[in-house]
Amino acid sequence: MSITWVEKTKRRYLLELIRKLAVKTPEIIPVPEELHGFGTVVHDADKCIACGSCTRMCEDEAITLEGTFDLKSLEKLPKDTNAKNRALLAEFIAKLKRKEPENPVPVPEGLLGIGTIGLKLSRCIACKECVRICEYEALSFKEEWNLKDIFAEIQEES
Amino acid sequence: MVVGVVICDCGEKLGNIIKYDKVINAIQELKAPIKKISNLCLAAGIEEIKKFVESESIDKLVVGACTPKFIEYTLRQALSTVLEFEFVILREHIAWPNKAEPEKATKKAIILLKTAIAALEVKAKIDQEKYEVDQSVLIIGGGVAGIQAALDLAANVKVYLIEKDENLGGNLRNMGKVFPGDFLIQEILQDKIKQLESNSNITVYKNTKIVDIYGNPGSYEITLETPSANSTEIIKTGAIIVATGIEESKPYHLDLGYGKSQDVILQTDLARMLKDGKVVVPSTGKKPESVLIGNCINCRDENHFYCSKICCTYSIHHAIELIEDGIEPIICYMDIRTPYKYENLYREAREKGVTFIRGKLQSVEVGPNNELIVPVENTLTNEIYELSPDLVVLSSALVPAAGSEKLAEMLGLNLKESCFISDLYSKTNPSQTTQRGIFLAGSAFTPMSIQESMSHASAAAVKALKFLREGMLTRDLLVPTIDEDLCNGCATCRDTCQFNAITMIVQTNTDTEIVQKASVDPTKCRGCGTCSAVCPTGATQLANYQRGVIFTKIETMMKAIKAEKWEEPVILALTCEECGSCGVDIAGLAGFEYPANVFTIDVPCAGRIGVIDILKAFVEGADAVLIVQCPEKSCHYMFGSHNANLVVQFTKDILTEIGFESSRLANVEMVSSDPDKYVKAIQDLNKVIEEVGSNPNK
Repeated sequence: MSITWVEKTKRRYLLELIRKLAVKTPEIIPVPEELHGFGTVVHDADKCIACGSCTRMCEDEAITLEGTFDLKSLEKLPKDTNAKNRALLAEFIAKLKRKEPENPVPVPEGLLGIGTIGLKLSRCIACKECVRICEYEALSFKEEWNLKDIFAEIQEES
Repeated sequence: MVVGVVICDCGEKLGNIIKYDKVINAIQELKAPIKKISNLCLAAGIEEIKKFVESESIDKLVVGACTPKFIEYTLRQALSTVLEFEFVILREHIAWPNKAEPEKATKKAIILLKTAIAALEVKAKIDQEKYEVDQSVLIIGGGVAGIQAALDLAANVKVYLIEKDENLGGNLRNMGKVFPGDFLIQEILQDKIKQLESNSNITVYKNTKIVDIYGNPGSYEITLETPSANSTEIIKTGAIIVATGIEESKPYHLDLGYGKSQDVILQTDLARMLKDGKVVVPSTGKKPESVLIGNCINCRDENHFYCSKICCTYSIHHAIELIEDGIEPIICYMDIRTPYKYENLYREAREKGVTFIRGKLQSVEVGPNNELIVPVENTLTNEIYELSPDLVVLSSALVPAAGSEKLAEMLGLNLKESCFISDLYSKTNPSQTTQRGIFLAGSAFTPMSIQESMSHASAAAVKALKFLREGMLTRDLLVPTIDEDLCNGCATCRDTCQFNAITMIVQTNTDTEIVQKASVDPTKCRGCGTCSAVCPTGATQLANYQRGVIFTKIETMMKAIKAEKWEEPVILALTCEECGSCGVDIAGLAGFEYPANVFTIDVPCAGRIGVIDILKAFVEGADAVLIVQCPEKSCHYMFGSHNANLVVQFTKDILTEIGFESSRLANVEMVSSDPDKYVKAIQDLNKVIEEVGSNPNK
């Protein structure tokens, strides 16, 4: 999916400045302790119940619920999870399956509360709202700025 | 807690199909008190049940008889000590459609009665909460619909009427003679306004805007901005009638000369001239010799796909007035739509010499001396005319009055594709919006004639009064509960709810960390259960249709099927209680016979069915699952049937991915009058099972 930036955000502007100045592909940059606004959100699909809580918190659309659902990650969901409906879904699928699922299943447009978490690092301003809202420890935060991946993402978009 | 069972053999007529003694034996094995009667629908039958309930101290009752659509209301009224009911439809769902197979019918009756008993054991008693309803109505819009609703209601309750203009009357203020019958609307209007203003039960606010609406059905607080020094005022009301009406849109095709020449006017402008008795060409101030009326402007095209319905009639009405005044009218039209008796008006116009040209106006050119040149193609003869009328009148699309979209948003109402306010379900509940306690009157719903607006407004008044008088019934309060320990605040339920019944409440928990939890407003909820189907965690559970109840029904049913040594494949049907369950009733009533191997479980709306409910049925060994639902476009709960379609599609994809035959899952959209669709779906699923074999999970 291509993304059109109607108006450049401050973060995007900063990234473009760095891109213009860069003479080599940047690496992962450590973020000093107590410096807010930079860092990397890490998503653990095996713990994620794909409810979309985090996506509703994100005002920058850096974290979104994509239209597929991965049954393989669902299998790895902790049995004692608080998300009872998801646990039952995993249990029933395990009982019914006659072959190992290979591909993610498409989620029909309009069916809410299920999908796959997609991260757009170039949009993230590291406010950590998504990490805070997730009750399943599926999102964590690393104090490093992954410019390498961010640049690769921008490259792909354009 | 005692669960009892009453079965009725419908005047001994069902006894030769269902073996009642076998049924009684099977139920007695469960130690449940059971009584067989033959006349449940009669007063004597009800008396017998009353005595049975008393002597056995029954708390919850399974009723195996005809469809609850016939008997549920009477039973609930008569047996006030019974906390909850379950209905097994022995007649329409078992005896009649399976009359050729009495043995299977008997087994099926036992299976479904056992299922109902188990369900009642886990069903909770619903709290008999009753909500106070403020005995007053707020009417928004002082046009003919608002005035009519106010006058109808004022004999019974307090009415507040809000009008944004400085005068009451709306569009009617600019009309003279109106159809039918050429009566002079101003006299009638002034008379109604006089009645309105002299009625002490009606408070009229003119020049007033609604700034804020707060509260629930039954008790709203409305903040008004009144003209007196721009002050605000708060009024309290129990119900709201939206009567915001219509206005004529401005033509957006610049080629039509509107705004370019002052001699191109709208139909409402012509109405005003006719009312004042002076039709003139604006640029010269002289009486025109000829007037060209162009209909369907902005209408029935890519922007406004709909027909405004009343323009044909009133443009013809105006044309007759013009011709009587010695002015030559020509009407350019797409189709003439003068329904019912207005066909006579069309005939009269033809007889009196009004010229009709079938062709929509494409352009109006303005000549060097400001004269109008109008090329028109007569699509019946393929001739192209060039007309030069003194005045062009455009009948432009009628659209919702300015500001009604914003108001709808404030009230939490849904809009139709046409931007008019949507009703809940036109077939059974006209005038009712998607919000309980808010009603629709007149053209805010769809363009209406004066007569239609008044009738519609009276209907809304009756609905509003009924709502105020009855208060909120306890049966309406089968609403979801939220388990706050499970709720993760993801807001999926809120975003799915079509009735704005769920809000996210921010809470501060012990670690001073802020969390949000879903909260249900029982006065707004209509109890479809779609929220609980989409909830990822299971925090949202619809009372009496919670996961525990549906799962217990599936488990008990499959166990009972085994216990009865049922050899045929099993189709488990999840039916919505609207057209789904009614359609199955009607299949029985209409004498359809179909395979006995279908076992039904009711849900309030197909929206309640989630992926896990379907998978549960397969895990427990159902060979096929059938979902019976209302057509997507006429779902009684707006979105439920659509959500069910999404769930079915998604579940099928999951099943395919895990190598389980997705053809075992089917859904059928039907209105209650197509029972053949249900019968065909069962036959089709039986064919599928024949092909793919029985459920390997059995």
